[in-house]
Amino acid sequence: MSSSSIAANAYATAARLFTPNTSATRPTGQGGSFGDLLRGAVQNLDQTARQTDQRTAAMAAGRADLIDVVTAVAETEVAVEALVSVRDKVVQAYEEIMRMQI
Amino acid sequence: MATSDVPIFSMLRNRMRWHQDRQKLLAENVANSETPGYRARDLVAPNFDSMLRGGVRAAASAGASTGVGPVRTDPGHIGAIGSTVQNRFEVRRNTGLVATPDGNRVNLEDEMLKVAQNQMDYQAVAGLYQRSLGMIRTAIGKKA
Amino acid sequence: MSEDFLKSIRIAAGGMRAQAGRMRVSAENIANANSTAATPGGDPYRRKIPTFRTTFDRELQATTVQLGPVRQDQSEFRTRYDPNHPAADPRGYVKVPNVNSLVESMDLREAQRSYEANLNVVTSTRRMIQRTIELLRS
Repeated sequence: MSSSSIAANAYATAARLFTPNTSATRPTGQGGSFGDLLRGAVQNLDQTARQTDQRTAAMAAGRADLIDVVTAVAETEVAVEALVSVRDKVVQAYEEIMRMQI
Repeated sequence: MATSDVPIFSMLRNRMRWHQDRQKLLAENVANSETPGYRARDLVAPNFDSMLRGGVRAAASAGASTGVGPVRTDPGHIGAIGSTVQNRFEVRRNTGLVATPDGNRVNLEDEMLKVAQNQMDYQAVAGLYQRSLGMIRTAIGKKA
Repeated sequence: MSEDFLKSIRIAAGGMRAQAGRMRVSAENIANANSTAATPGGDPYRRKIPTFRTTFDRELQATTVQLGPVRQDQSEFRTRYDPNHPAADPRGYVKVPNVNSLVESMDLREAQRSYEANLNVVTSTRRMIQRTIELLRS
């Protein structure tokens, strides 16, 4: 399987974590809107990555346009990297907060 | 947050497709350089500025034809000899060419020049596309 | 639809094949420019003419060129006075092939020029493909 589809599956799993039953525990104010942003981004990425996978498969079967496939893969890759960057920063911030002595 | 939403990428992608389509048309011209009655064709350069702002449809309806010949507002259906060919971009018949006695209107040197030009232009656009991706990578701190 | 780079290559390859066939016919004519008959009064080598057939290829959505049936040049044979020649007719004249070497060489050169033009298209398209794949690197 392509690496982008493995990533896509991982993020689809992550997307499921942002399901409605976490809304009850969602913190008020800015935390909520950020969660929405992240959820939207992950779902968007999931969709893009699926599309890219389809194009890649079509290419392997000899049916797709080279430019479409290559640009789709390149853009998905950057989108994944962007999302990973955001996730890393969020985790970093969280850990830093947890380290604070209260 | 999707990269494809950024207009520069869809514009560059479209530009690359245009060059790809043009290459096929030029290949056809070269292959038919002696076919009786065959007339060399080319693609009209779409208005890339309006494409950047509004997409391919906007460019087509902005009357983007700079070439001599029939102007269509749709990505046109100018067919080859007795065919119906769907083209993504506007096709223009080259006019003002000398015809050989059998009606062929292809100047091989001109076509070769266009092929070389098309290739270089494509490489330039692909380079811009790659640079743009690189800039985004740098921005998110992931430059390899 | 997908106006893929590969279609450009296939169109150009068809052109190359047709021109190569044309060169073969010219070469054969040149090689036989002096091939007279073996029997007295017989016919010598008759010049061959390549024909092209253009078809609209549905899959490629383009007009492609193919080598059609090879015709024979039906023009009259010239004769040369050579009574000692094995192919001499009762009056001493030998029929010579209706091949004009100059015309054949020119045709050969033109075919070569067209062949190289098609080859250029293949090379150029290949470079465009490589540049596209390079987008995935880095």
